[in-house]
Amino acid sequence: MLSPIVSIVDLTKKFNGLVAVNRLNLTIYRGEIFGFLGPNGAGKTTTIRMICGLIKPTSGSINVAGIDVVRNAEAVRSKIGYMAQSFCLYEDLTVEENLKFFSSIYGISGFERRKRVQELLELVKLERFRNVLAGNLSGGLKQRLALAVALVHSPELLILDEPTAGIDPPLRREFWHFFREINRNGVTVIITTHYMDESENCDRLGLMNQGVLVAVDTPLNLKRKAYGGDVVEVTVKGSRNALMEFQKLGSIISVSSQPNGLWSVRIAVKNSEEVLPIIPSFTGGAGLNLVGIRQIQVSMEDAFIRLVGG
Amino acid sequence: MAMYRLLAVMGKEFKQLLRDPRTLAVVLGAPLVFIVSFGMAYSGEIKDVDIALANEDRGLFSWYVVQEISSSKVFKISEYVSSFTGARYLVENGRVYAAIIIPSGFSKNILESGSGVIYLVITHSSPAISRTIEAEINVIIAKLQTKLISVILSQLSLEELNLSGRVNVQYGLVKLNLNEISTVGKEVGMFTFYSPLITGLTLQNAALTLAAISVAREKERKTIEQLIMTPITRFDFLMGKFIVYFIISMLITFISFEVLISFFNLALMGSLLDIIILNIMFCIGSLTAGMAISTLSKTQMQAIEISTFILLPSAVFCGAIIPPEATPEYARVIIYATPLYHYFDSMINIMVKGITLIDMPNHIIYLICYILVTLIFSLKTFIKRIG
Repeated sequence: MLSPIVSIVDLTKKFNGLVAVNRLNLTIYRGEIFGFLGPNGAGKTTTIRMICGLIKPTSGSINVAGIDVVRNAEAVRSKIGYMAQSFCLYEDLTVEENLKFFSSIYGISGFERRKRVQELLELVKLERFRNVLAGNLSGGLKQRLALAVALVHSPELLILDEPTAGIDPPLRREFWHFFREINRNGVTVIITTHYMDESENCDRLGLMNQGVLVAVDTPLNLKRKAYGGDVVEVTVKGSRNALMEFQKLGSIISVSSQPNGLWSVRIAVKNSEEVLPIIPSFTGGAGLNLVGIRQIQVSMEDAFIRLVGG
Repeated sequence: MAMYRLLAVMGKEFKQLLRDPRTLAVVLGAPLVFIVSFGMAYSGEIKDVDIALANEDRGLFSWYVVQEISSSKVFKISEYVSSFTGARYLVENGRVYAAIIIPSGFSKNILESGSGVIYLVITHSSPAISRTIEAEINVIIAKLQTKLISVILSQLSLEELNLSGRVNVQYGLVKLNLNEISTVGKEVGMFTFYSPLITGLTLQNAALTLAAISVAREKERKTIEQLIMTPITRFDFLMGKFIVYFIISMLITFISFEVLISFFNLALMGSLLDIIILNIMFCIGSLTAGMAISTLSKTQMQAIEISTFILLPSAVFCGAIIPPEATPEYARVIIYATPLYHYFDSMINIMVKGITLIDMPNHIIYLICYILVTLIFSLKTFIKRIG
C-alpha cells in the first residue's frame, strides 16, 4: 500500500573531511508529511540538499520518484518543489511577476499560466498583494510567496527547509494549515525544523544529530521509544522504601517529595492502558495511600534529548 | 536551450534593470559625463592654428589680404612660401593645418574685372579645426570685399570707374571667391584620435560592469538558490542576461557615437560596416569577460572591484596614451594583451588609415579568442550545484 517516493541508502557527505551526514538510510512514502528534526548543524539541510540534487553525496544513493538523483540531478528537479531557508525570490519583481517568471521557466504559458498563478495566489492568500514588489512584503508574506513559487509546477514532492524559522508562533500555525492543505492534495511534504513543538505536526519524524539519523518514527512512537513506553505519574503517601515497589510496574524515572509527606513517582510503563487500571490495587498491596494518578504528556523536546543523549 | 526560458530570463532582466536606478545611472550616466567632458576639453576656442601663406601675386591688393590674415587671432602664419605647390606640400605633410594662396594676377584681376580668387588648401583630419578655418577665412573675405573697394576708390575717381566699367560699384563691392582644395593630411586631429578611446572605454565600461554585476547579484541575493532548483540550463540563464545587456551596451555605444558626431563634430571616416562589426565584437567580448568575473564573484561588491581592476589598467595600456612603439618590450606584451588596444588600433586603422577589417587579421583573431576564452570560462565556472 505504501509506495516510496524517496529512498536513501548509506548516504554520506563529507566537507573537507568533516562528516556532515553519516551513512543515512531512510525511506519516505508518498502522501506523508515527513520531518527532519534536529539542532542547527545536525545535517538536515545537507540531507535535503542532496535529495534535491544540489549537493553531490560523497557516497551512497538517493532515488526520488524513480530517478537516481546522484546521476541525474537535473531530471529530478521537475518533480520537486523547493523552498529554501532564506528568501530567494526577486525582490525587485512583484508577487505576480515572480510567479509568472518561475512558471515560464517551467514552460507554463498563456492561459494555463494565468490560471496557475491565480490558483496559487488564492492558496497562499496573496491576491491582495499581487502587484506589490516582493521586497516590500513582510517576512510572513514573503514566505507565503516562496511557498507559492515552490508549487508553480505542481510537484509531487515539496521540500521545505526551515520554512518557519524566525516566524512567530501564530504565523507558524497558519503555515502548517497551508502545508496540510497542500498535503491533502496528494503532495508529499518533507520539512526540516528545529522547533520541537511544531515537529509533532508531521506524520513521521527523523531525528538527526551530528550527521546521524538517530530514530525514525511517528511523533507518538518516538516519545514512547524515548522512555520505553508511556510515562505515568503516581502521587502517594507512605514510606520512601515502599516506593521501590513501583519497579515492578516499569522503570522509575524520577521520585520527588511533595509537601505534606507526599511522593510523586514517574514511571515509564510499556503501555499505560494496561497499567493505569491496576495501580489502585497495586498501591494498596504496597502499603501506600494513593492520592492521584495521571499520564504525563511527554514533550518532543524531552523525548529528543533522551533519544539523542541516551 | 528553450526559447520560453530564454524569453522569461530576458523579460526579468529588463524589468530588474529598469527598477534599479543606481545601476542604470552608473551604466548610462557615467559614459555621458565622460563623453561630454571629453568633448568640451577638446572643443574650446580654437586659436593660433598653424597655416602657411603663399603670395604669388605680390601686387597691391594682395598685401591687404596678407595684412587681414595676419591680424586674425585664429591663424598663426607659421610658414611663408613662394608657390602653391610649396604650400600644398606643407599641408600634406602635416606641418600646417591649411595654406592660403593668393594666385599671381590677383591684383590685376581685381582692377580689371572687380573679382578675384583666393585658394585654400585644407586637411580635414581634425573636423573642429577645419571648420574653424573655413569660418574664419569667410569672415576675412567678407571684410576684404568692402575694404578693397575703398582702396580702389581712394586711387581712382568714381567717374573713372564707372566709365571704365571695370569695377561693379553698383553694390560697392569687390567680388572675392574662395577656392577650397581639400587634401589628406598625415597628422590626425587629437579629437579623432581619442574618439575611439572614448567609445571603447564607454562600451567596455557599460558591458563589463553590467555583466559582472548580473550573476553576482543573483548569488548575493540568493535568488540563484531558487533558480537552481528549476530545469533552467546554464545556457538559458547566461544567454538571457547576455542578450539584454548586449542590447543596452550597443545602445549606449550608439549614443556615445551620436553625441561625439552631433555635438562635437566627429567625422566618421572609413567603412561604417567595419566600425559596426568591430563594435559588436568588442561588446560581446566585454560582456563575456564580465560574465566570467561575475561567475567568480560571490557579491556585487567583489564583482565591481574585479571590474575596476581590469578597467583602469586597460585605459592605460590600450595604446592611445602610450603607443606600443614607445614602450619597452615587457610593457608591449601587456598592451598586446589588452582587449581595448585591439579595439582602439582597429578603429584608428579604419577611421584614419582607411584599412578594412579583413586587412587586420591579428586584431580579429585576438577579439574572437577573447570572446571564446571568457565565454568558455564563464560556462565552466558557473556550475549548477551549490557544493
